[in-house]
Amino acid sequence: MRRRESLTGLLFILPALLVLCVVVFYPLTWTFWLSLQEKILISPVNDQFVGLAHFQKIFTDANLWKYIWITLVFTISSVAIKVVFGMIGALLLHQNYPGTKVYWSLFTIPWLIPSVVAALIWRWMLHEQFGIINQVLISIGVIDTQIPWLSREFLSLVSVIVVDAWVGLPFMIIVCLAGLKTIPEQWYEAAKVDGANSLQQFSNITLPSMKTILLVMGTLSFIGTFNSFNIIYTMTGGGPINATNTLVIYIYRTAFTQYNFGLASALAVITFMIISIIVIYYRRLLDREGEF
Amino acid sequence: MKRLLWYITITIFALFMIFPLLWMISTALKPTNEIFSLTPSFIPENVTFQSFIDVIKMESYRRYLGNSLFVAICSTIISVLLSSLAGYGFSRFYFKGRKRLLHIFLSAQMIPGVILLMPIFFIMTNLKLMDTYLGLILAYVTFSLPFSTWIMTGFYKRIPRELDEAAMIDGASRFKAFVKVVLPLASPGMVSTAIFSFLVAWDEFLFTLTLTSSEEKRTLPYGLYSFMTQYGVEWNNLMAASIIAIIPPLIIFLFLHKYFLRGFTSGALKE
Repeated sequence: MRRRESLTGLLFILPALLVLCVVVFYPLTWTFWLSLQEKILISPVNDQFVGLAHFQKIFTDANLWKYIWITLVFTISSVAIKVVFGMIGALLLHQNYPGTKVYWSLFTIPWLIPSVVAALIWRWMLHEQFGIINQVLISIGVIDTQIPWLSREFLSLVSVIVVDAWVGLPFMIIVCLAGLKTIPEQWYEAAKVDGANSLQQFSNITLPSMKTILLVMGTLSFIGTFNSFNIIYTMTGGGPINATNTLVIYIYRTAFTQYNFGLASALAVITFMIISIIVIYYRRLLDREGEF
Repeated sequence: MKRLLWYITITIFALFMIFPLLWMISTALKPTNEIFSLTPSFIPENVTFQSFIDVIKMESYRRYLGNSLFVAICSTIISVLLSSLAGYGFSRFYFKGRKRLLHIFLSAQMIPGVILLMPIFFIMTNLKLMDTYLGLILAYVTFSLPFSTWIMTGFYKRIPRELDEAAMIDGASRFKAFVKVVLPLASPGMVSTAIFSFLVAWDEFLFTLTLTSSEEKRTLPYGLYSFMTQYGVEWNNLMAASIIAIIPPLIIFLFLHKYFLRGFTSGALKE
């Protein structure tokens, strides 16, 4: 009887599992296999098993470290902005002044924007000649010549970080706000009776209560940002001079502009390893903080 | 005083969040000569809907829009169907390895699409699914399925098991109890799942870029991207095209935002 029950349960799960196998788990093993092959789509005569040659090549290539560095700078900066400003936004919205609801809508609307569209809007705003950002900065006298935001190496990285954070911020604010609402109002009242000022209330009540949510959301956001493709590809395509070439963009370009599937797969395996470490940390986090 | 400070801070914050959208609307309402002005005004001097008309007249744009709607709706339906079933399996049956399997499901959500891109390119080629709607739909379902299953599992857990058991004692089969008794109660979860799946499909760019080769099957993100890379892009038209691309998610949000929050935050917060 128990056996039958288990089977029925599996039967419910089976269709979804099947789809995941075809589009996720089976391709994943194939990526590992491809990483050991020489496979260049435009010259199929050279296909052969090469073992770890790609990895050897990658690890002795200084560019890889540069791209890993870019990926980390991009991811960590964007996540930091999202977490800090997500928390600030949520604290601002966690008030009872008239108009809070209107502000809530204003904060959440950008969430609905498809990321390619967001990237296009910002690309237009950052346009060197006709972009509004340069116009405003010139008219208030901060700069006197137009800044080529997306064709300078450092500036383009800063730009994609800001845009990625802008896109991710609304969801962070919503979740933080939901978290703030679970903190009992009495705690604050008790703290006020004891003479705690707002800063003390924040560091002794709000922050400890929000610790788990911030950690979990920070980690999830880290994974999402690390995997970010749409915004960078639309805004810079990985350029200028590879300044925004994160691992994900690098893999795509290796596979679909150089058609070097073997090398791209080896890079994909390395990326998978990095993500796995973070996911394992995330699981530990959930276990430690209780079933979430 | 404190209140004034609050209004100032939150207004600056809101301006940063909303200004890009206002600028997009402003640009879309301007005639072309105003776009390429070195001293652009925030309010268009001559408001015109010409760029919207131009965009809607474009056959390719209408096709991208139609493709996006079709692919997103199909993948949403399939994703809701599969996750409703799987979530029920995860919430009601305590078989060996259940937890591990749920974890495996969830980790699938965290694998970047680009890692799977090369094999999926081969698989789709072998299955003759390159440049077809079915290929895109299959890929998009997978992107929303893990999280959708999780949302559904959470919703089912809040429905007492005694309800299905009572129905089964009354002679209903397991499947009938599921369809007739549990599923209706889990409908808010299905709405959340549907919203999530639709948004995922609407937003997707990497796979439409890779799996579609002809203009016929391109979805909106790829379409907009290809407009931008054309020589001499007309930004007012591009912004008008972008505004139209936001309308479907906006409509969903306006009518269903209650479900939005319930589903998404229940995923991120303790239930």
